[in-house]
Amino acid sequence: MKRKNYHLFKIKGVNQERFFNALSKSFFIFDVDRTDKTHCSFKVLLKDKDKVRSLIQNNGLMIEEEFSKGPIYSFFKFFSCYGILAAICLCSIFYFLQSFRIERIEVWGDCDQALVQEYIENNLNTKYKNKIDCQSLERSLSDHFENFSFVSVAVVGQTLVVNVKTSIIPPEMDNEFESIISEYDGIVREINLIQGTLKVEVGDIIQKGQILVEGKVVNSEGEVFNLEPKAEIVLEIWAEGESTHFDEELVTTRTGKKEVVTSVVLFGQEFYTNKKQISFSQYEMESFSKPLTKNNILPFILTENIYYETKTEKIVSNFEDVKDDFINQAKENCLQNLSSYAIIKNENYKIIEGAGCTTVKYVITATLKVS
Amino acid sequence: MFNFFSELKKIVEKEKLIEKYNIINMSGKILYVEGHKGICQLSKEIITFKVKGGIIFVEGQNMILNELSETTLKIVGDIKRVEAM
Repeated sequence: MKRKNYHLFKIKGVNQERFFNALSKSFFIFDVDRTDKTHCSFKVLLKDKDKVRSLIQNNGLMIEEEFSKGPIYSFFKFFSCYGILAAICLCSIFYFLQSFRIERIEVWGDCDQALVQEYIENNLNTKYKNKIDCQSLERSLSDHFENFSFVSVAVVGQTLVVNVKTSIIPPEMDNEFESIISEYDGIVREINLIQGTLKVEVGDIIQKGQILVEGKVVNSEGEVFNLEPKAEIVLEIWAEGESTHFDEELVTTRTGKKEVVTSVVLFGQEFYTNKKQISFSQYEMESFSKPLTKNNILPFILTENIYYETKTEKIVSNFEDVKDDFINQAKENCLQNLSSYAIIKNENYKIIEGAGCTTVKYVITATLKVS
Repeated sequence: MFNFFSELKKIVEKEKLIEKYNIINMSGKILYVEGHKGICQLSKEIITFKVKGGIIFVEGQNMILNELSETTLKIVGDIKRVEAM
């Protein structure tokens, strides 16, 4: 049995056999290693070391060296290191005392955080957590900053967290209104104006981004009034989409084989890696990284690079064989450019043949009601 | 618990003859002894110890006395020869 806790003696003297015979009657001895006739080392249990020491001296032997080893010895030795114990006690007391105090103020929300923080620092009459009145601080902040619609103050750990939400003023209160703007190119087919100033007429060709109705009205005396523009305008719009077929095309696909290289990074330095030579001549790489530990003391980051083998093939195809697929793809591309509220009136496509490629252009005409 | 020596003693008629000492040599690497009466010589090459009715002579290389108590001992090393005298 391997004993981890022991006290080792290195002794010098003659007639050691007689000494060991006497010693073995009272104590358990192990690893007796006699280097020469006068020198010897042996181990005893930690609890026996003082008695064995006195026995060695009584038998006229000289102790050359002695030391203890093992986890139990290290544990008890720790309690005799008064400097470390004192430091731990002082740190614990300091940590305990400062845990009652606020050390940091954090302001969250869409506001001037420095201004709020400065206000709190000036108005916070104590830094002790149990003496801070969060409710009165909330009231004080709401009164002082008029644009705050919501204020919450809470003590989290040793941080005073202030959560602020600013009030959103509706545009009507600012007396500013957004104009009705066209989102598509098209032709104006019908207009039903309710309020505002009309900027287009029936039959006008309009462009994307053009103002249709402005939120202003000028009275007979030339005064300008702001109001919300309201109208129902029917536009005839069109959208285009295309897809191109190549007679010869290079397509890269994954073969299914992959190799993973994992590395552990600490403060930007690679700590460990199982890096090996990538055997693929052509590959794609995906990289993932995540923290290895949940503490901030040693922020180890585990990085995983996955190498996928790829192959490139030249694909030759005839347009006529895949014509319908490309027409449908062009239509889908066209529909993506169209509003989901539009009512389709007409649709057509044309095929343009080029050098080594064929392009399908799809056009949809639709009506759209803007209000 | 099964005790090899006790079981062995049961099947031998003259028990008193084998109550002196027990020695087990394990592959020439470990020698376990029960019933020793004290060490006579101790070195890396030769270890001798008394038993009831004689002396046991152990010869080998790099031998150490791995365990020593009042009645048992264990020698570890390259054990070449064990002789009862």
